[in-house]
Amino acid sequence: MSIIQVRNLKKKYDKFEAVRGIDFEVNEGEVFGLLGPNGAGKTTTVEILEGLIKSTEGEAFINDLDVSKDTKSVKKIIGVQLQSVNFFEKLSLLEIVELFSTLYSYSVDPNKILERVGLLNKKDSYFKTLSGGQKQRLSIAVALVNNPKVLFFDEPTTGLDPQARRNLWELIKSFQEEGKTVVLTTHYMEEAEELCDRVAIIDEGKIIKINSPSNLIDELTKSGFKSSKKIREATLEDVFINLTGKSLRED
Amino acid sequence: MKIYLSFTIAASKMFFRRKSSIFWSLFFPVVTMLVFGNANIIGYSAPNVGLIDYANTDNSRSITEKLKESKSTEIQLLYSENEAIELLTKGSIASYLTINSSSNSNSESEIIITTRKDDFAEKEVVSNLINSVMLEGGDSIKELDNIKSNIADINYQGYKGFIIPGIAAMAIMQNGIFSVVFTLLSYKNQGVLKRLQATPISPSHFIVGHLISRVTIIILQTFLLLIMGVFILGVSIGQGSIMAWINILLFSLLGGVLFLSIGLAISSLAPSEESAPALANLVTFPMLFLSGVFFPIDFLPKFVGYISNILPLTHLAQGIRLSALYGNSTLTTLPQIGITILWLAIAFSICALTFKWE
Repeated sequence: MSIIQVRNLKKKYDKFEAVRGIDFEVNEGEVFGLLGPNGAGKTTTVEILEGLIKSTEGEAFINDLDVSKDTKSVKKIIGVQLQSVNFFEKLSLLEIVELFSTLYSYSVDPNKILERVGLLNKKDSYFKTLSGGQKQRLSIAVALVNNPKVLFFDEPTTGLDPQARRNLWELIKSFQEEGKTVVLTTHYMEEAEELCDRVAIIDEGKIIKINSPSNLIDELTKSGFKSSKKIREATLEDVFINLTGKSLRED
Repeated sequence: MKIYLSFTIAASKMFFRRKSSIFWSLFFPVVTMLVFGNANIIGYSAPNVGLIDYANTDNSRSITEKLKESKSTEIQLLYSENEAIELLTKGSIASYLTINSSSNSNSESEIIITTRKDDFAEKEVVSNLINSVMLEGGDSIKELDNIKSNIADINYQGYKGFIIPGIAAMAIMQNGIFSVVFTLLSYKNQGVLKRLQATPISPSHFIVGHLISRVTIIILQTFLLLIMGVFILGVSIGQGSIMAWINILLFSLLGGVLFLSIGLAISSLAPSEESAPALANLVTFPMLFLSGVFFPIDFLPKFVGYISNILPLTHLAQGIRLSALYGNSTLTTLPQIGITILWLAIAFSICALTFKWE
């Protein structure tokens, strides 16, 4: 059963057409990836779904709510992590999580949420003092304050070291296990392969293909494609993780 | 309601955790006040002089006419000593003259200059004025040899008394406008506003919550300045009237909301984010000099005075000064309150029409 429906969605700016009519559906409990080069329209699409910008044409529904009409109700059932992560610099993590939970009139234990993302030991630090990976994790913590049905993550692992990245992957997988739906944008293909049930490949504001990562790979190899690189049993990242360990470094 | 409160608490915590905000809104006005308060600029005074003509002879009337022609002072005709003392206490006149006829019809009439305690400058100015009128009076004036001076039992607070309410009003403007402009600018640059936009709240929650926090800080700042004026500079504020202190509270509240709204309007109207602080300076700088903060607007040329009378800071400074120095209550400062509220309505409408998250 699908929880998100997008039909013929378009977004035009003065001269530039960022999104040129895209359609897709996301099933409940699925991790759905939006893949594409920079400027393909991933973020614009996600921000329309989050109610941050208005589409020029087309329609989008989340949990049967029209994103452009019931924006406020939509915002109540989604959790959002924006591409540029920023919060009030001079508030502690605990204060930030508390503040955001009041905005949703949702009572949660901020300590539990911080524990979930591994920031409990940092709860009294100011946001300013966090490392990149910690900021991403706080951003995810804030996205959880309203116990959302659907989570949007916009390039959550860009700029993180392999340990922090794998840590975020585990978090995202745990959300799926809880039955939450996740929409994720990324331009790391191994990330999409690891996390996503299905991906949509976007370029120049249009969706070129939607399928599961393994089907897409099969499709390509059946067409006679041969990778120039020899496929091996392990990647350099596996080597790196094997040598340096999985534990997070910034804490 | 809980959302407003959360923003108010968060904004206040952030304010007190930021050293620069404490420096500009608390430390800086206090230092300015202490520096100017000790400067004791001489010659500052309202240029009005009261005149009671008890003699009412041809000669006293000609003297009155001549005094009225003088350009350095404004002569205000009064009819009783009580009235004169009241105006002198309020500060709307700086001294008054009494022309008495002598009981002995052969002897000359006398003229008495009454000034406030320690206001030597005023005594000097008015005596010189009378002497020059006598000298230049020509045939129409019979010279009065009997010029006396008298000191009324009223404290003259001098420039200190003038500058303290002025600085308090200035600090309300500066804190109101700049705290909004810089806070919004940093939130916008940090992308915090966008993150808030992704939550189900409306902008008004965030704005109102912040305004409540800032207005509270502005009121504290005003009282801090006035109380420091009392204890460090030895000026008497409110003249023992609780109504005057309540009126100062009202002015800080209205003035705070007014200048915060102007700050918001500037942030919304600025063509680019970086131009907002420049625009804020453009708005505040002229008011520092034209609104009677550092010197009375009577000192300005007439046409500039008209501009001064339009500016919101003029009325805020005047209102606070009337209560601080002369103990005026809300009822006797209604014109100042009215104009402040009018400005508030204008600034508020601009904000409501133009505010955007981005």
